[in-house]
Amino acid sequence: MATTREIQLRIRSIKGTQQITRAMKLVSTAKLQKIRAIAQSNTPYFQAVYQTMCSILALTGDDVLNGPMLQSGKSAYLVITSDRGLAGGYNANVCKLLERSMGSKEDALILTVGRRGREYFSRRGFTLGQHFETPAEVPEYSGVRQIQDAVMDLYRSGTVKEIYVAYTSFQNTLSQTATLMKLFPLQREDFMGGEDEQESKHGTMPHVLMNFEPGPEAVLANIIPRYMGGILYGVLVESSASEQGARMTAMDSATENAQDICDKLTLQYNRARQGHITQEITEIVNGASALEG
Amino acid sequence: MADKQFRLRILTPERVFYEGMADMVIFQGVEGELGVLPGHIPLTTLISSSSFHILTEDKNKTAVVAVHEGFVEILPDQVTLLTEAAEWPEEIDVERAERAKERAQKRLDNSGDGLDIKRAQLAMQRALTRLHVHTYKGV
Repeated sequence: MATTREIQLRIRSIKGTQQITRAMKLVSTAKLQKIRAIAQSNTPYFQAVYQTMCSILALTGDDVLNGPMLQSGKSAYLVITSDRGLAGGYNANVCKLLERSMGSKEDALILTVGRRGREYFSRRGFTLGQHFETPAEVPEYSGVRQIQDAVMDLYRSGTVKEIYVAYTSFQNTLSQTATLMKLFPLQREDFMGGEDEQESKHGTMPHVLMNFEPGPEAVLANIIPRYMGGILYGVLVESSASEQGARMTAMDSATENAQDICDKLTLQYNRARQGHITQEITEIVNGASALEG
Repeated sequence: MADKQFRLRILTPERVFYEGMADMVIFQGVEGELGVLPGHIPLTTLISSSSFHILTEDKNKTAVVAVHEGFVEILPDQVTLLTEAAEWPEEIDVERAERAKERAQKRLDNSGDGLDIKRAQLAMQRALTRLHVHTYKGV
């Protein structure tokens, strides 16, 4: 059995770790609250953009939606991870999902946000494209612009046939799911289904004959990047919220584990101390009886 | 004739910037300046980086907002402005706008390829809008 001194040292070190994990949990909780508010306020903007796209698409032909349609070629994947670890399976889940669901390694071009994802895919020898700075905990829209431009350019230049984004969608504080979503090519059907839903939500929107200035195509060409920006922004905000949520959960269980170990060690320590005292008493009694005898 | 006022919403990706009733809005569309009163025909138009004026009679004042690229959806009783960024005059960082203006000017002088020029022009436009709105003192 370890000596009392050794046990004491271990308890102290674990308590130190526990303090760190507890602090990290609190920090994540605070950040999560902040980003949640942002995620909610983004929705009206995105809904309005989406609705406008729907109404334009109802008026225009297919060809306006996409630039060059390629049948073959590379597929680009945008992976969103964090720079820092200690967030449970947050980074690993996204990377694994993407690796599983992509076709062949040779045809994939990986764009990354966040160092963890980049390290993961460069270790495995994938073709890496552009890397983007990780946005702050609360992403700013200006940071999205850069990604948005790059994605639009990549698709319009015709080097890739499709673009996906892999991110972690935020269900609630306890559950986050790694998700793969298609960005390009845009599918007309995606905008047809949603229209009824939108209308019932906005009861004040009857079928109006909308006019477009300069023209439906020009407006649509302008809205697509905005729509993309809205999606990307939403994806970044959700990923960031998921990261905080995952870290919160991970740190919470780490704190609990530390407490469990501490309890066990304290019990051990008390036993050892008790054993030590008992031993001393026995020695004294024995010594005394030896003197008497 | 429709009501005297319409509902105005200004939405940016980061927040709901403004929501309320207005008598009239005036802004710079890509095809020219546009003034919208209640009962306007349905129109969706692109907007360039410019000052956006909101007129509300009851408070007897004009609010000016700097908006940067987006589009406006006009319905008889509702106007929705979707823009990537909107700022009240007091939110504008003048020094930053001045710096951005100089930067854009430099880039315009050392002419690169077509895309760079376009981006520099947009940046220039944004900086000028910010400066204009910041110094705007009313009609």
